[in-house]
Amino acid sequence: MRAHTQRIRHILLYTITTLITILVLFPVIFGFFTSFKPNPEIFVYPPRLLPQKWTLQPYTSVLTQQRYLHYFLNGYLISISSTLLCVFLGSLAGYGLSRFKLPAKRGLMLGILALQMFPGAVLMVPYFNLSRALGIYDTYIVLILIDTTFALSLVTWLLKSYFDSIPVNLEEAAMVDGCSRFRALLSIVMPLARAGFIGTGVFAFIRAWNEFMFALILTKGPNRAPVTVGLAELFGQYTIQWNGVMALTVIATFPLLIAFIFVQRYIIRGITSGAVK
Amino acid sequence: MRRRLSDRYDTKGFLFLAPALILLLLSIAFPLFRVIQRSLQEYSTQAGGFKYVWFNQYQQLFSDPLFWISVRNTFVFTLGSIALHLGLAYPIALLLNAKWPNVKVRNFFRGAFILPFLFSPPAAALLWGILFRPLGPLNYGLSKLGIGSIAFLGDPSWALFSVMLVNSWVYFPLYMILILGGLQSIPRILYDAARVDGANWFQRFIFVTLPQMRTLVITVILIDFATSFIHFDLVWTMTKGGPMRSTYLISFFLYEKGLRDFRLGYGSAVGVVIALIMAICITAYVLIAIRREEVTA
Amino acid sequence: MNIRFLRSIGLVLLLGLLLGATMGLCQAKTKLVWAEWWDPEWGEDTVEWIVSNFEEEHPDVDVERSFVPHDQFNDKLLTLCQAGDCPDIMGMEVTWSDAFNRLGLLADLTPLAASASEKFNSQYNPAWIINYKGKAIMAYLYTNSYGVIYNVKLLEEAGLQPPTDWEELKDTLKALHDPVAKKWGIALPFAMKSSCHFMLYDFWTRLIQAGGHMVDENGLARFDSPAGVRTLEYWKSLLDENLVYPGTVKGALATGEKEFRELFAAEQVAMILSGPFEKGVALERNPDIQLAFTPPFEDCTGGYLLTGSGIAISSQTEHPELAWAFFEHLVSHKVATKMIEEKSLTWANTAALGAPELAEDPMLGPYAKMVSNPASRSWIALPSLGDLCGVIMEHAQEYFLGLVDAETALNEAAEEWNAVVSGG
Repeated sequence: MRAHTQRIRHILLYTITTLITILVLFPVIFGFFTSFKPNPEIFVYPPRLLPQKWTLQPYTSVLTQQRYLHYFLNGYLISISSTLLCVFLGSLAGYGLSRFKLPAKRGLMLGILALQMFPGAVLMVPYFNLSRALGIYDTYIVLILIDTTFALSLVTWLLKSYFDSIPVNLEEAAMVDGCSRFRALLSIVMPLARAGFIGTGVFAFIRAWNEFMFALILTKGPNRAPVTVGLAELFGQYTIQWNGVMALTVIATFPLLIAFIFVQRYIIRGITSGAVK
Repeated sequence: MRRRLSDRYDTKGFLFLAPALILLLLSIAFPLFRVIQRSLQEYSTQAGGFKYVWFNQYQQLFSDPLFWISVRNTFVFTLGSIALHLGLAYPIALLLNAKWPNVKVRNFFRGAFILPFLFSPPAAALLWGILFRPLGPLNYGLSKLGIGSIAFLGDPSWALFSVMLVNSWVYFPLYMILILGGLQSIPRILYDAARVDGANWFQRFIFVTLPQMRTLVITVILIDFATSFIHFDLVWTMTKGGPMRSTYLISFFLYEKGLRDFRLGYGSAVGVVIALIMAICITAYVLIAIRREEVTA
Repeated sequence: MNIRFLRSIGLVLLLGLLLGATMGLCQAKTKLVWAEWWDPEWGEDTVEWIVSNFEEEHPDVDVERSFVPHDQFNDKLLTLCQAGDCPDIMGMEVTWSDAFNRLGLLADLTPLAASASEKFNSQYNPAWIINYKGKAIMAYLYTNSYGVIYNVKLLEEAGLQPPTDWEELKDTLKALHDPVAKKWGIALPFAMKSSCHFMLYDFWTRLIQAGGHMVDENGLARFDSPAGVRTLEYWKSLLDENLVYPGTVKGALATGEKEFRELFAAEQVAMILSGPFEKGVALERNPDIQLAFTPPFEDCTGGYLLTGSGIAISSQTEHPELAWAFFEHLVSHKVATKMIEEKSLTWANTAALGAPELAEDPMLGPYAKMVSNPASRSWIALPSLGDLCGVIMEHAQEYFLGLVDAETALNEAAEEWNAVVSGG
């Protein structure tokens, strides 16, 4: 009887998830095949999922250009650096907010959000002038710093709430055993909040990865600019390279997806074998 | 759960906060000053620079009906997006956090669901532009099902919903991962204890999951609000605010009226007003949603 | 340590440095920065070809090409220029020119044009230099007028002659409409994202044909006239009779200019209303396509709208004469011939455009007649033109959806238009 309900439960689980997956992933699949279609085919009626005439031209036109390699490498460099910096600073701040009794904490937490309230576009000109005054215009540093600050407040809030859900008595026990505050954070809290770190890390990474306006204005070109600037090249005055945009997305997405699956598997393994269980 | 290490203020906490606070302060202080100053000024060619016009810009802004249309659209867009994001992300996260007979399959789904998030906004906008075409795949499917065609981006009563749908599709994976992370951080002990007390899955969800996820969901809503309210690129690429002004968001107003023609004074005034609206909403929300004892304890 | 030894080494080093610096100075080429958005349209090799040709003629000049996509060109250039880092010569659209000019970023081309070379003067139409507020702010590289373009094969297959006026166009569209195969005669950019295309291609052009005027000499609205009503009514009649892709009013309001272009290249529609550059775009998509302008139409007048895209010279440049020389190179006979032949752009060079073989060209032949009609009108620089396009589009859509009548739509649009113009 128990096995029977278990079976029903599993079948339900599979069907529901598969159905949602199809709904959610249909556009992805459609976009994937669109990247192999010659442009006019995208607009033919009746619409088809698969290309009638397969073409690799959208891929070759992107991959054969030296500067796209630059765009990709810059994109990874900037996004990974700002993610690490952001998660590092954010976890310190989040821990401070979660574990210490501080004066005017609610005001402080709201203050951290202040930067989030200004649309980036308003800050464009001040940041442009500032970056030139500081001599960091058209460098990686300026983009890493900007991407970090724009994600930092939300990353802090997120990590604080992850830390909040971890019982405090675990650290107290460790500290009674003579652990320092910092050690307790590193060895007790961080491992428990691992799953939270994936979420926040992905958040910070993708925000940096998709950031466009600052990357465009604060760099001179392919030497420092990330992928989004390369993507914008495919939007012309008269036409859009529809298939090229999809091809570039596929190329850009693939390593990210692999990385995500890898990181997530590693961290989940850590959790299930960890102390919480 | 009480997380009380000491009843007195412990200013050592500021040491942890300092690096982040310094970076945020440095990056906001100067531009903030500039933006507020600019919002009281206007560029004048005769003067060869900016001169003060005080509240003229604000007056002009508040008397522009398009501004109020954009505010209304933005609130609908933001609240609708939050509802759709949570409505999609929470159940899917619960599904993916459930006990699966095969962990590999579950991990596959976890990877699959993140895909939409990897589309950069212009690419996602383009893709959905193709899907939404009057004779495109979605309408073709609808007509095969015997439902008439929908002008997703051409019908003023549909357009805002359509772009909300795309915004949800692109960003729900983020919220799904965040919620999944929260679900995984809930100590197993709590569920075991509830099970011992004879709670079924629904009671466990109500009495363990929901309260444990409270601050995270509050944060997620906050993040969503802060990003959707000044959302620009996705909708801009798809509609530029049309048809008529049905998808005209406040960020479009800022861009078109203030920045496209480099009217920095006016643009800054719009920016300040947007910041004020957001500050009011966020503060009210935080004051209501987060009880005092939750933050000070 | 021997101090004198050190000192002499220092002296030698210093001398060497000085020598090196002066030699470097003597050899340093003058750098000219050219900001352009044309890589995707012309192909990078073509842009490179233009630059290297100029550098061959001017061995002491190094032209640095700075590509910025069209969508972001205005924003990025304005930001660069306000910080004093303006490219010497930059691509320019009339749409953007007011903002640049208001900030004092554009050089007056009048003195440069006055000392232009003889060759230039003989091959460049002075009307291609745009004057605004008493200043020559930009000059066209290529010009455009918008008329009805048709797919030769599709019309032949349907046994139809190309239409010769607006009423015949309607009949042709009726004949081309096939509701079963979901084929329509024409796709038009009625989506808000293409508001400026609607304003230029469909509203302003049709308005001139209807005998109306868009603006007065101060840029204030004059389109709220019977001719304006006639214009809007014409487009609405096409929509109401389901003659515009995809057959419904609401569907048509989702078609932008990037889409109608693809629909035409994919032979989903047989006609579009656009400029001569369409040939290059369509051929790149579909090498078998054959397209032609219809004979010029004549409603109340036979006039068309004259527009173009061009370049401006920065007011911050240290080498205005050199920048002008580069501009002369851009519109030289050699470049023009290549651009006309390969890219189907109607390049701003009278000699190249007047080549006798072009008169027989199915695109350029009718185009020449369109632009030479005395009733044709140039568009003009206006403050916040982007906003103005939005105003026209919003109220036209309101009328197309049947929410207001044509007169009300135009009156409201005119009121908002004037507010924008006088406010700027």
